[in-house]
Amino acid sequence: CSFFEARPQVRGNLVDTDTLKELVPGTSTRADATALLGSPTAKATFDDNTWVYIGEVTQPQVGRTQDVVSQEVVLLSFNNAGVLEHVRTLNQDNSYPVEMASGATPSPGSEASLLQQLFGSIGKYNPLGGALGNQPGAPTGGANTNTQ
Amino acid sequence: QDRQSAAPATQSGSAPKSAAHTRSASRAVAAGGLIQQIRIEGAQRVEPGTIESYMLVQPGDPFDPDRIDRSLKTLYATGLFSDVSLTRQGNTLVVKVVENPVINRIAFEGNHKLSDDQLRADLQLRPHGVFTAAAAEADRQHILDLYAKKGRYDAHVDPKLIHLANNEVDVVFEINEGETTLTSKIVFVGNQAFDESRLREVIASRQQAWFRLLSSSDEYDPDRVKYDKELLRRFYLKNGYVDFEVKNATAELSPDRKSFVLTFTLSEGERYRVGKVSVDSQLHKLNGDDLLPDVQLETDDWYDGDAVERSVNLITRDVQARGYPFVEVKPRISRNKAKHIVDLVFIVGDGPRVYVERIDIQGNTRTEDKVIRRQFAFAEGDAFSADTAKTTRQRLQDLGYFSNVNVTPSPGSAPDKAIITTAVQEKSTGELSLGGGYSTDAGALLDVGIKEKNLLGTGVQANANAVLAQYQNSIDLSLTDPYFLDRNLVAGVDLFYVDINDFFVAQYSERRGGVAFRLGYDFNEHIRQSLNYTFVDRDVYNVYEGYPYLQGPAFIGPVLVPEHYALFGGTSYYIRAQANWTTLSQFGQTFTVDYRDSPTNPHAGWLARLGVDAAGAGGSSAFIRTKVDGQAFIPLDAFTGNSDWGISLSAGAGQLFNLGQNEQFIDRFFLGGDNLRGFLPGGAGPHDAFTGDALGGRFIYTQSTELHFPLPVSPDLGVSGRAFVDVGGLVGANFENGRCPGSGYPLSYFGIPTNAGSVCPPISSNYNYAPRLGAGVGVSWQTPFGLINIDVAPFVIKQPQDQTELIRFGFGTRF
Amino acid sequence: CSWFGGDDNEIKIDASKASPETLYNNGVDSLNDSHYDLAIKQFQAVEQNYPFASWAVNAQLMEGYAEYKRQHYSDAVAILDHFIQLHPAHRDIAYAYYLRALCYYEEIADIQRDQRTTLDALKALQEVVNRFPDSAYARDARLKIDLCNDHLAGKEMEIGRWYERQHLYTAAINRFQTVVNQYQTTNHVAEALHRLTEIYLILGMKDEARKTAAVLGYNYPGSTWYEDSYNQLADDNLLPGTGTKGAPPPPPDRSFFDRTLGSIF
Repeated sequence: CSFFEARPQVRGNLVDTDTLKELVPGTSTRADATALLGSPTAKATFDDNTWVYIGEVTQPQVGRTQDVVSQEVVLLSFNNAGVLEHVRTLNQDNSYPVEMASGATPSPGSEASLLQQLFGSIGKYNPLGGALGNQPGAPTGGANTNTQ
Repeated sequence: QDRQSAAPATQSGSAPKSAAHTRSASRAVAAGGLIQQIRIEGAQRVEPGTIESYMLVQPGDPFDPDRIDRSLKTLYATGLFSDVSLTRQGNTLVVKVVENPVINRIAFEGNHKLSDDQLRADLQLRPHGVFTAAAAEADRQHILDLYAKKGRYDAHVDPKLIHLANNEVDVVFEINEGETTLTSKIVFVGNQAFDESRLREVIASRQQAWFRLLSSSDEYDPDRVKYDKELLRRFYLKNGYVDFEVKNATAELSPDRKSFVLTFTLSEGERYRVGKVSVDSQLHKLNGDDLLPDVQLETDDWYDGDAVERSVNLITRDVQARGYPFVEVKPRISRNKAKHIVDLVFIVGDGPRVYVERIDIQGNTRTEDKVIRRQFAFAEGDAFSADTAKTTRQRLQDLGYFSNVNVTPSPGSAPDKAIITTAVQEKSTGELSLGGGYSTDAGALLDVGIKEKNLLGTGVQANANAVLAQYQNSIDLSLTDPYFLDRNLVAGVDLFYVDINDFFVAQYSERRGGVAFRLGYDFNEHIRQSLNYTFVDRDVYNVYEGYPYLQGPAFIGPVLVPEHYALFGGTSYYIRAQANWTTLSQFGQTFTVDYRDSPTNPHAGWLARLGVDAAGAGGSSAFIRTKVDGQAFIPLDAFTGNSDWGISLSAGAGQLFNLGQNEQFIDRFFLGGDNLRGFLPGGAGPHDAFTGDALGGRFIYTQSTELHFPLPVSPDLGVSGRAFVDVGGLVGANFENGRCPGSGYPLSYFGIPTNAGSVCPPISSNYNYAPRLGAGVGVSWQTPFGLINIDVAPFVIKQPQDQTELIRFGFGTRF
Repeated sequence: CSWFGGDDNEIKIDASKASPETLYNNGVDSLNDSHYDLAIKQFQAVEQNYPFASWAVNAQLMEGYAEYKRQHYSDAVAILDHFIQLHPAHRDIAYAYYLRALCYYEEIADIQRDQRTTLDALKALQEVVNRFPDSAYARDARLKIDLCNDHLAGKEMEIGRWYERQHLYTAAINRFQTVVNQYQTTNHVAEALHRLTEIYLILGMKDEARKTAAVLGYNYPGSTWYEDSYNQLADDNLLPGTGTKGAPPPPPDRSFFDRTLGSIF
């Protein structure tokens, strides 16, 4: 019952349907889209002509990370001249089940060891110190002539 | 060595920098001809090559006065030289320089209020750096500003130079701090509605007084006077004076420059009542009237500025919850001067549409990024509003890891995008606490603790705590992760060992050691639940027989017993029967509904809790213990106009159901001490009739009413008073079917001439539900050395064999 | 060397009498025996007693090096800055810039923490590359610049993964796109592309998911992330006919983006 419900929260840019109707493929331009819906939440990674508006409603769950109660994606694809070609809306039914791959690309020196964090100065970071021979050799150890 | 003043005007030797600069430039170099050679004179530390690299003319260029003059200016710009002159000798351009000395050491003399490091922090002059008169003057001004902030307007600072060999100098800042300028008197002009003493309570500045030795609130501080004007405006607006205005706030320095007289001239205007109240919504598909319940003011109330502000926040949050992320609520007041009525309209319009493009967190050299990011009320891509930024800043500050948090938006890559930069300043979250104190429960005590609120920056809280006291020693280690596995889950583990000698309650000692696992989660911001499993090994020991003495003829139950030996002292038979090692394996849960306004010091709202513990599962005692308790806080601001007044009501009840064999008496409820003031801890309830030892009870109820009030002493002292009435009852120490464990005392023991049979010691007031009562007053004083609590409960209603306690005293300090 | 501070074999020489050269060489010797505190005192002695000899200039540089060796990075930077200001035309100025860059580089914090020190290091290393492009130091500086970028990309990925775990897909997409657009030379790009494929699938944008997986396969055919993407697409049976597994290996030395655009059109 609602007594136990946590308050849902609107995330991103939830585009409401009737403002979307005002965008007419073939005539509306990028400027119309920005004026009506605001600038896109994201653009497709390799195609600046596809604008993406992502809106979600999330709700905190007990014992788990928050749940996506509803999710709505609006895709506007423009041609190179900047005129809207077609509009697609996707919601949670179009979502594909995905299991997030575990693991991460290691970035060198990213994990200061536990003891080091406790006692050493955090951020001592010279992973390839030895390999690169980055020990700066002392310059011209001996005397150098006076340039005067 | 002799000290030369470094002030530019009186610098001996070379004329002040700017003058020299113009004089030599005026002798324009004769034009025409080529520069065959550039000769540099006077350069010692700086290499000729360096000077040539700054010159705009090289050998072979024509003598062009303009470029030569510009070379002169660039050489000065390097800040390396106190004087430069370019002269022409035939076809040689002679560059004569006098190098600025290099600083060897910087020292301060006469500074007490500010330490050397504070002064040295952002000076322009640096050891190894070059000394320039301009930098010295800038630093002098900087130090004067630092002292002004500390309320020392009478300070004098003058830099002195000690010339060393080879053009090096030591810079010494001779400081005379002068006296702190205090505010001797605060005067109000034009105040009819409120008298001066009431207004002095409102503002932050205070008059000079003996007990304000430690506080700085009586030092004159111009920023605080500005803040006082704002406090006065809010105070009058809160009481309905819509036309109120602070004409001006002046501070006159007394002739001896020792103190200020602060005068506030006010124009109060009339007090207004609220006329029509309405909400005008300009958002389509949102009706203004639906938002009326959020308005905190009704018609005919006195106008109240704070209530208007609260209404604006409530309406904003309500509209946002209805799916309009960008809303701006503006209150508009239309005055009717004749009838002193003001009409109030809340205009709900479209706010600026801004989305968060990126959240950058800076300054977290120790705390991990996600520990901060998870506290944000919004994420990247969400709508941005000042309200969510304020909540986020509050949440980050409540973490207790940072001394300063700023959440500032800056323009993003598009007009409706913003980048939120969060700058945090970390403070040490580790606390080595060493406490001493005395409390009636534990006697004189020494408390040593190590607490780390942000272990290795991961947000995990870890603390180790040891208490060594006369009657109680305990050691416990605990580890809690508020966001276990990045989820809405609080996980914790505790290891503890406690050794208590409660000779108040009964002649025995108890020691227990064990481990507890905790798992908690929030349903929403008001409801939370926590589950726990505890495994404890415990022992009741230090029990002893007591010694026999001859007792005259007396009735034991129906039987008249002649002269005989009886036991005196010693631990209750019931307790001695259970004096052995037992294990407790218990699952528990606590369900909390919390509508209080603040968890740390609540002033309004209420809280209800239901606790159920089930012991068994391999432990030696099996029982189910349920507890329910509630608290309600009633603010009395409306009547007393001061937020220190308040009533707090609390009530609770508990029942223990044992399953099969008898529970250990230490698992039962005990009444007295904290939950019933006026009685010794565990002093009320069923007792062993012979020895008077408290045996606890299976059913308990408590109720407490407390009135908090401020004492007629300045709030700076941190003293608050309370009056309380505690009520409570405890019953049910009986054992299975009335038989006592084991056989009890043999009758012959009492001189009754039979060889068989025994008698169990009777338990006094075992089924006596009658309430005990303790009423009295208490005071708590937050001293700079720690919190002192004293409760005196003279008026007590007790049952036979209850042990009362007049004064409870607790003093703990952290240093 | 002995544990208890002062060396027994250190002969107390009266600093003012000895020639600058002996003082300087003593300093270099104690530096090689890693008695850095002693070395610093000896170099300072040269500067105090013979401030105008060329030795003093070298001594200052060596003092900076000694401070670097005993990990007092901020002091080292202060001394080197002063050296650079006073002797911009010195023979070893390149080394001074490089040593200063190393001091910043040593103070880089791990990716969970504030990356301001990494940005400082990047700026200092870039200065070395710009001022002395063909010196030996520039070669090492370029390599360290890549490591710094890799570090910054690592932080973006860390935050991106956290947002994805919290189901906040807008935030995650922007973070992974930042890695793809701004940190192309780092080795995080493969994972960033895979994460983008995951999120596009969750949002139901199957064409974008296919396109991103294709780019990932084309540019990083051997990477485990491409395998994950491939399997993920297979699980959601979005693979018919779009597999680019057998695509020809990209021709050498075209920048990442040229190869990408080439693969799509």
